Amino acid sequence: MTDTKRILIVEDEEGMSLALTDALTKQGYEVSTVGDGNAGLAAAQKEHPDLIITDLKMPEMDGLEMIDVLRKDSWGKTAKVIILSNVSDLESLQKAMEHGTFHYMVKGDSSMADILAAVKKQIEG
Amino acid sequence: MNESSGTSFVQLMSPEAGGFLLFFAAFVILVSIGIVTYFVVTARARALSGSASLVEERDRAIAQLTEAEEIGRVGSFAWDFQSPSRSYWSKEMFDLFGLIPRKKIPATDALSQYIHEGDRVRFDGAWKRALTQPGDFTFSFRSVSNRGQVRNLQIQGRTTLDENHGTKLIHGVVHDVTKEMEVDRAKSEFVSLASHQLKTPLTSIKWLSEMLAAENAEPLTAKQLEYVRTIKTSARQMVEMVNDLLSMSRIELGTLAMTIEEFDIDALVREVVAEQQHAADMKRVAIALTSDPKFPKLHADRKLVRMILQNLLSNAIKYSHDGGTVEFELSLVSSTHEVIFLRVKDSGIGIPEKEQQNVFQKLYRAENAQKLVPDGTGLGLYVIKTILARASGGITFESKEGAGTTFFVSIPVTWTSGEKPA
Repeated sequence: MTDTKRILIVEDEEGMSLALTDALTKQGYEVSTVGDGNAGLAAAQKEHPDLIITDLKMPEMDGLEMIDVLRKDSWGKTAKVIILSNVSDLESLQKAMEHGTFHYMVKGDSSMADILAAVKKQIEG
Repeated sequence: MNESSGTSFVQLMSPEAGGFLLFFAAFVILVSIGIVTYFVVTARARALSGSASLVEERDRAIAQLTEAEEIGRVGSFAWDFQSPSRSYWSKEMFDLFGLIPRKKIPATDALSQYIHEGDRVRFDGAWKRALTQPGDFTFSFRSVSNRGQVRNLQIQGRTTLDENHGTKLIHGVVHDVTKEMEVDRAKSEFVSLASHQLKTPLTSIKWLSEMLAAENAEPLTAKQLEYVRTIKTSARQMVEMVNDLLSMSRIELGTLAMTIEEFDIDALVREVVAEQQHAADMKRVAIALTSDPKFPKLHADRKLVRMILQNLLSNAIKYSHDGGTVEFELSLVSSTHEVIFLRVKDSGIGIPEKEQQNVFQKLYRAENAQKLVPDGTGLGLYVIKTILARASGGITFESKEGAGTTFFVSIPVTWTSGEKPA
C-alpha cells in the first residue's frame, strides 16, 4: 500500500466540511470528518492521522480543549494540527500559540488554494 | 378796599399775624422733609430688598447649575491667567476627578497625576496643545480617583492667548462619557459577534464556488461558469465588507491582532489583482499593475496589508466609470527606512471638494459615492488609515470631482513586532 496521507477534519459546519473533504480528496488524501471536539479527540487517538484540521468553535468540546487533551497524549503531543477558524481575535491566536499549534488560518480570509498549499506544507514538511 | 371783606394782606403781615405765618412755614418745611425722608427711606428699603432678592436669585441659579451639572455629569472650569482669582472649578469638576471640592483649584500642570496611566502621555500632549494654541479643542481620556475609580472623560474647551502668545484664558467643560463608552462597546461587541456569524456561511459559499469555478473542476456550460464566477465575486465582496466591520469593531474594542510575518509583496499584490479581475472585467475597467518581483520581503501583517490592497483596488474599480483604467503602482522608496509606496489612480467619479476632509471618517460616504454604489459601508478608508497609522505608514489622496482620485500610500517594509495591537 502506498502511503496515502490521512487527514482528520473536525468541523461542525456542513458546507465547510463538504468543501474541505472534496477538495482534499481530489488532491489524493484520505479524509475522514467529525463534527465536534469529543468525536475529534476519539478519532484522532484511534486513527493517528497525518494531519488534523480543526475548527475552534464547536459544540460539546471546542477545538482548543481538544488540542489540550491531545497534547497530553504521547502520540498527540507531536501531532500536526492546522487550526482553521473564523475566530481571529488576539486572545484566540495567543491561546493557539500556547497549545503549540503549527498553523493558524482564518477561514474567510483564505482561499481553497491557500488551504491546499498549507496542508501540503504541513504534511510534507 | 373794604375792611369787612376779610383778612387783608396787610393784616396777615401784621405782628399779630406773624405767629401763624411762622407756624405755617415750619409746617411746610417739616412736611417737605417728611416727604423727602419718606421717599429716601422707601427707596433705600426698596433697594435693600431688591439686592436681597438678587442674592436669592443668584444663589438659586448657582444651585440650579450645580444640580444640572451633577445630573448631566458635566463639570466646568476656567483658568484665568490675567486675573487668577477668577479661575474656578465647579463642584462637579472636582467630583469627575475624584477630588473633594475646595477653594484652591489644581494648577494646569498638575492635572497629569489624575489621568489613567495608559492615557497619560496622550493627555499631556493634547493638554499642552490646548494650552498653547488659540481656539476650540476637544479630546478624551480616562481619569483615576484616589480610590481607583476610572472614568472616561471628554474635555471641550476654548483657549485665548495674550499679545505675547501666552495663555490668557482657558475654559470649558468636562463630560463624563463612561456610560456612553459602555454602550458603544456593547455595540462593537454585537457587530463583532454578528460579523463572525455571517462569516461562517459566507466562507462555505466562497469555497464551494471557488471549487466549482476551478480549472480542474468538472466542466460547466459557459453560462453556468459565468453564474459561478459572479457568486464567487459577490461572496468575496461580502467577505470584505464583513472584514471591514470586524476590523472596525476590533479597533474600537482594542483586540485587533497584528501578526508580523515575512512575505512577498509582489506575489500578494498579483493575487489581489487576480481576485478582482472578474469584477473589473464586468465593468470593462482595465487594471494597469506596476510591481517588481525584486522588492524586498515585507515583515508585516500579511492579512492587514492584503486588506489595504484589496480595499483600495476594490474602491478604484467600484468608483470608476465603465471602460476606465485603474493604475495600481508599487515602488520602493528608501530613505531612513524602506517603504513600499503605493499609488492607486482611477479616472472615476472623484470626491467632491467639500467632502474631502471627511473621507477617512468612520462610516462616512461621499454623496456621489452613495449614489453610484449604494451598499458600501464607509469603513474601508477609516480602517486602512487606522491600521497604517499604527504601523507607522500613512495614506493621503488627491481628487477632483468627475476626474478621478489618486491615493498615495506608504507601507513600511518592516513593521516593528512591538507594535501595539490596534
